[in-house]
Amino acid sequence: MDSRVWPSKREGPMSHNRSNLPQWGRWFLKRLLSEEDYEFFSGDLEEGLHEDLERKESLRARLRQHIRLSAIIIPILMSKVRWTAVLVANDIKISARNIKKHRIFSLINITGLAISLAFFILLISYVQDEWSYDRFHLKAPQIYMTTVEMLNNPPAAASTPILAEPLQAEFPEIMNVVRYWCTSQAVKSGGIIQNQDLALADPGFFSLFDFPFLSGRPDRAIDAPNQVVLTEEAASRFFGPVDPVGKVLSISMSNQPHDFMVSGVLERIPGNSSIQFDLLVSFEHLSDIFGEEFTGGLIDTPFFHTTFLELHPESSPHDLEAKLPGFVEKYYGENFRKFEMDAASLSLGLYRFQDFHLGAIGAASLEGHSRPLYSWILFGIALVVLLLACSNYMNLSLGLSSLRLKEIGARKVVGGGKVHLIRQFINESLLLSFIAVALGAVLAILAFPRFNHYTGKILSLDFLLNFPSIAMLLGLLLLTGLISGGYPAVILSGLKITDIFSGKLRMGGKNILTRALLIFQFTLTIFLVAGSLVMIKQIDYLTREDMGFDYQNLVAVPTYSFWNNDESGDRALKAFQRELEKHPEISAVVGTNGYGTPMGYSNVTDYEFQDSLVTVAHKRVDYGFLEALKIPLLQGRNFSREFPSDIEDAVIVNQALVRRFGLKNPVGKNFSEFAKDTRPAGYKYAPTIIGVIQDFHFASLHQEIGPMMLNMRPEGPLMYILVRLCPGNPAPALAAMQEIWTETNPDKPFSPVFLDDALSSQYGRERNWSGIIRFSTAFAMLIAGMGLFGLTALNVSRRTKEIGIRKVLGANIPAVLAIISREFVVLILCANAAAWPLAYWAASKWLQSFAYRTTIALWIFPLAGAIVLCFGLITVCSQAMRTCLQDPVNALRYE
Amino acid sequence: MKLLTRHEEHVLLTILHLEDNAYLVTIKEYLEDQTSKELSFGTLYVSLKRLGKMGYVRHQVGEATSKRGGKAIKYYSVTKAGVRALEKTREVQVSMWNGFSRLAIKAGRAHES
Repeated sequence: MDSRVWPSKREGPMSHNRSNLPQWGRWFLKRLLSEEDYEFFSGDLEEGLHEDLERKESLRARLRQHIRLSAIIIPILMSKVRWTAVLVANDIKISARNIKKHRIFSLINITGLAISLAFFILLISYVQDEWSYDRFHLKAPQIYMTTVEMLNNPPAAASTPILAEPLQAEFPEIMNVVRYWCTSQAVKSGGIIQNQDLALADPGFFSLFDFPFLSGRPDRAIDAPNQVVLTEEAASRFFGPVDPVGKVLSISMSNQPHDFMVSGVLERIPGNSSIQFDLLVSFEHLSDIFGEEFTGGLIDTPFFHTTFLELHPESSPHDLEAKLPGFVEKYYGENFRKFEMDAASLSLGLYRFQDFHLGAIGAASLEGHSRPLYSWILFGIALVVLLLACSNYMNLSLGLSSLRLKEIGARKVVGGGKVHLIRQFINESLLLSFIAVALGAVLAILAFPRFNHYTGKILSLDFLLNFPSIAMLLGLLLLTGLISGGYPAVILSGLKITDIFSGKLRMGGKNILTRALLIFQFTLTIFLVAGSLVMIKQIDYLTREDMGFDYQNLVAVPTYSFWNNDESGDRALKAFQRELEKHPEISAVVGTNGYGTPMGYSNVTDYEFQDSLVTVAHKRVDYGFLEALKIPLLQGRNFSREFPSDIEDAVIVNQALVRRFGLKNPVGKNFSEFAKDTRPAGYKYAPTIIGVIQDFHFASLHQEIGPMMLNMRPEGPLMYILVRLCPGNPAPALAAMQEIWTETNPDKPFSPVFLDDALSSQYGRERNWSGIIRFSTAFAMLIAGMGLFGLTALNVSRRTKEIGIRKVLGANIPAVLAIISREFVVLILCANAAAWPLAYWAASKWLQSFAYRTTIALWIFPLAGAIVLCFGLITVCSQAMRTCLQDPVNALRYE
Repeated sequence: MKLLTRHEEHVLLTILHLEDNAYLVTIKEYLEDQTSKELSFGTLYVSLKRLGKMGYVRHQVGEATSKRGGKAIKYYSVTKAGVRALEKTREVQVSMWNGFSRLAIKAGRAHES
């Protein structure tokens, strides 16, 4: 024997009975052939294919082996399964006939299932997107962010630039430290100036995070200063379709243009990434932006950016966290004592990056997070809508079965076993759900743009094309097919032949399950209707809530100055005030600052007051702020040029502050008289109150108005210029503003925002939510309605004769309609009883997240009930009317 | 009697040619040699099975060899019915081909003119 021809398997010498045939080939052949034939055939194969069956190293050769083998097996397989295929084809044919015969019901089933499946796909894609945030980085499980908690501020994923070096030096389990910060800067190239999200990061950024490059090298992209990496969109914005690598771009830092060479272009950053930016440069440029180097300790450097750590896979974050207080004491103990503070008042921690999106911790440089509750709610709704459609199917096929009892009986008489009948029913529902899944996928694809519009997400269809999604669709197909076909199949196949033919059986419409399903459907529908009514009311309330200032005709122009010593905002304001006074269509120009929105605050101080800490928001304003925003002054006086000390020492406070500190005569009081600044010496701030204003909303309506003071101290730059226009066409005023802006600030973009737009976009998420809920409500109503429609149709067709007799005996149409709809009305009323408390509970839970909320008016629930009842009645009556309007003669001749 | 298909005819003739040594591997090799077309073991297996069912071939079990991974061998031979079927097929063939050369020349000429 030639051993070269018969290579042994890797694990040992060749033994008899060991086959070189691939595993799957053996598996198939064993099942296809008799034991004896398998023996001969595999022997023939071993002899005939000996060269083919040798172990091949190259993928290609192995692939060819498998193809050869399948060419051998397929003809045998085909010769065997021919008859099975014929059987299945027969089943399908009969199912198709049944589907065709009951066209209306099949249509209801298929469209109902298809719509709810489409809906399910959409919602799942949303939820999947939420849950997949930041998990596409290979190292995602090992990436942590440092957090800081100090005094009574909530913990935040913030860090100071000086922290990175000692951390890496102290802890060997930290493999990589990457500081990351994202800010907004004016970027110029050719004639284009645009404000862009500029990220700064340490060179290790691209080895920690997986952002694929279109061109350029990840390891060299930001390892030197004055190199910039662009995203695909930013690259095409500034350079068009050509590859920009090697080209030069000017980025304004601290009002100085700096030239950067493009070193790489990134693929579009996925929507499910918390890290989003347009351009990325080395973290070294931080000093260019701030105009200073950061030196000092934890107390005297600001916490503003994010520090990412890559932990060794085998190290525990909890162990590391436990070592952090010692670390703070070791490196920064001196620093704390210098400011007479206790090192324990500040605690560092770790937070896993991939939990950030659905977590509760804030990070200024990252995208906002969302609440996991919302994903769960959506998932629940998706499931509920699908269940609605399945219960429609169950109801209808049970109902229809009364028309098919004869068929079932005949099948049983000629020897169809229980198993055959079940198979027939399941086949039928699988066929239906196959059509429905295909249709649903198409619908989902068509509805994607609309859905994105509602949810404010950018989901792409790629989601549908990957393997898990296809598996999910197939799973859904099986699930809906089995759930909706299984129950009727089991019930119907278990009937006794004698019962069937004696005509005693009545299926559907009357039995308990059908009723329970109907109540279930309508409970959910009423719940959703009531929920969306509450949501609509709350959003309406939010948009109508008195903000405390007049935001109509108010334009905010961002000055793009962010730093304490940045006076370009002041300069721009001066120029605006000088020039715009000449324009009659402009009534006021003032400057202010504020994070997030022009009305936001810029800074906070924690004051000690009666053993607790009170956080007071600061907001820098300019002379004329109160007049321009029409905020009423209740006591004291406004800032005035006659008192030069106003700039450093005076503040105007809101009513909330007066209430919080329990001040009797606030005007003239100094802060040091009633509160103690907790900050270290040299940073303390104790101004004098010169006036009190009415409260206005400076934060989101989710939050209550807190204590706030307006000051004129230049502790922050003027970030916005607020311009009040006279009512009328804003275009000429905007044009004039643009002209002045380009003259005085050629390096910064002019991007005015109307305050009413900015305010309404603050509630974008709530609006999106109410959009989704309304969308779902419409769907649920539609599907429940379709089910009701089908059931009535069945019910009426069964009672054709009864209706005919009633009419002959003198019943009028309303009386007949009442008789038919009575049953459904009772069911819908039952559903109301279940839905109201449920809806009340859910709505009050949701409203709790708002500080300013509408009351849940009790009339909402009867209204929701009434809407659903009317909808149901219209559905039922429209069906019943058809029969009622017929000539009774036809009805009596029926059968 | 049903006529044999071309493939069945070839398989039966091959078994006759191979005499005592006709089994799946040799039949395949011989057929591939003669027709210079690749043939799958599966297809051949299925047609042998069918020919067996029709009673045209029978088989006997030979002994196992190590060359075959220790598996026994199945030799095929053509039955009397198989021979008759071949004869019948050939008769039809001959009468169909009768006068072919004359007709082919004629067809060729007609084509040329």
